[in-house]
Amino acid sequence: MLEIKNLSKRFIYSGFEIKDISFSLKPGYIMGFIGPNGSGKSTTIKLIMNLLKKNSGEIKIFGKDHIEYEKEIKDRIGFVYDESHFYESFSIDEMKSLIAPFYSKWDDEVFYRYLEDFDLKANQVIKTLSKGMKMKFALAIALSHDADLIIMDEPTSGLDPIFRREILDVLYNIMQNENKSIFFSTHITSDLDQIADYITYIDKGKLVFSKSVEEIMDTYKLVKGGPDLLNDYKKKELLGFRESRVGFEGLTDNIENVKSVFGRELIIEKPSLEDIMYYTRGR
Amino acid sequence: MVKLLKTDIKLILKTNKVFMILFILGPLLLVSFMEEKNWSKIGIIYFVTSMASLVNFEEGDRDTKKITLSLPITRREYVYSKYLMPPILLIINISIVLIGGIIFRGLSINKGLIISLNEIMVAILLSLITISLCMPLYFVLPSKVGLFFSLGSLLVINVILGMIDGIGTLLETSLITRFAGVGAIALGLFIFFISAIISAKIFEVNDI
Repeated sequence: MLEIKNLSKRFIYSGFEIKDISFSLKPGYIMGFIGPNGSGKSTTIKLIMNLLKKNSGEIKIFGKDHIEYEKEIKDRIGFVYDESHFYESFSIDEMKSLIAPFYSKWDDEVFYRYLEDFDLKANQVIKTLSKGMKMKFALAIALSHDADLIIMDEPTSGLDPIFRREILDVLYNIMQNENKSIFFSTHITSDLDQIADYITYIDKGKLVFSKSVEEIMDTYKLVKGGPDLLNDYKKKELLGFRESRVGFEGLTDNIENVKSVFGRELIIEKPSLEDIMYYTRGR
Repeated sequence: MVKLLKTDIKLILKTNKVFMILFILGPLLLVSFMEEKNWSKIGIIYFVTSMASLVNFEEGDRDTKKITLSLPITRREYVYSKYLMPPILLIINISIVLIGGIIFRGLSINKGLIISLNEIMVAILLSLITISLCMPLYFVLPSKVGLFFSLGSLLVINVILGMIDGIGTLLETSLITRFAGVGAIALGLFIFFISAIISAKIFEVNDI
C-alpha cells in the first residue's frame, strides 16, 4: 500500500533533514506516525504527497512511483492537512463543488451523509467553523471518494477529547473495510493506543522504529526501582531514565539483560507509547 | 486541465468580484470617453489582461495552493492551467473593447474608436510578452514573494510603457504589414510557450 525506502530530504536554509527513512504499510492496517514536534512527521507526509521534493529515496504507493503515477495515486488517497487550507469565504457546498470534480469516484451521497453525521450544514461558511468542525469537514472530503489510503497530518491536534474521540471512531469504522489503510501522524500517542496496528516513530529526522504495536510492547519495558538500585554502571543499560528521591523509572529494549544487571527487586511494567517517545528521544 | 481552469474561473468570480467588475466595465468606460489614440486602447487591453491573469494566482486566500496540489493533478497541469488563463482573458477583454466600440459608435458617442486589427495584434503581443516575463517569478520564488514580485514587475512594466509617449503608435507602425504582425504574434506565442515550459520545469522541482 505504502512503501518508503531510504527517503532523505535536506532543507538548505534551516539545515533540518530527514535521513534515510524506510517503512511500509500493508493494506487493511492503521499506522500511527509519531514523533515530537519538529521531528519531521509533516515533512515526511508532504514528501509522500509530493508537496515537497525528496533528495533521494523511493516512495511507492499502491506499488507505483508516487511522482510518475501522481494523478492516479492521488485519486485513491484521502488526504487531511494539519490545518485548514480551504477558502475561508466559501461555504461547505461551494468548497465541495470545487474539489469533487477532480476525483473519479466522488460520491455526493456519502459526502452529505458524513456532513449529517458530523453535524455540519452545507451552507455553513468555512470561516465560521471551529477548528474541530473544519477538521471534520476535511475528513468528510477525504472520505467521500472511496479512497484506499487515508493520509492525515496531525488530525487530532488542538481538538478537545470529544472531537478527537469522534474522529477516531470514524477512522475505526472505515477500517471495517479490510482493503483500506490509514496512515496518520500525531504527537498525542494516547489516540494510537485505541486504534493503531503499527507505529512508526521518528525523531530529529531519523527513524527510531517502525513495528507492530505487539512487537513494540514485547520489545520495550518500563522498569522501576528504589534509589539505591541505580548507579552509573547500571544507567548505561537503560535507553533512558528519570530519577527522583523515591526511586527511578527507565526504559529498556533488552529486559533480560536489565533483569540480570538490576536483580529481582526491579519492577517491570508495560510502557505507553508516550513513555517510549520520552525515554528514547534524542538517542 | 479543463477542471483546473473551471476552478480558477470560479475562484476569480468568487474571490475577486471587484476586480472582475473593473475588468469588464473599466475598458468600456475608458474607451467611451477617451480620445482616439492607439496607445490608450492597446494599453487598456494588455494592462487589464495581464493584471487579471496574475490575480488568478492569488486564489482568494493564501496557502490554498496546498489544497489544489493535493488533488489528483500534476504540477505541470497546474502551471499550464495558469498559463491558459491569460489568453482566455485576453479574448474576453478584446471582445469587450470591440463590442463597446461598436455600441459607442452606433450611439454616436465616440466615433471611430473601434479597435483596429493592428491594435489588437499589438495588445496581444504586449500581453503575451509581459505575462511571459512576469509569470515565471511566481513559480520560481516562494508563494507570497513570488506573487509580490510578479505583480510588482507587471505594474512597473505597465507604468514604464505608459510613460513612453506614443509607444502604441511606434509599435503599430513597426508592424507595417499584417504578415509582420502575424510574425510578431507567433514570436510572442513562442516566448509564451517557452515561459510556460520553464515555469513548469521550475515548479516540478520546487517545494510547496
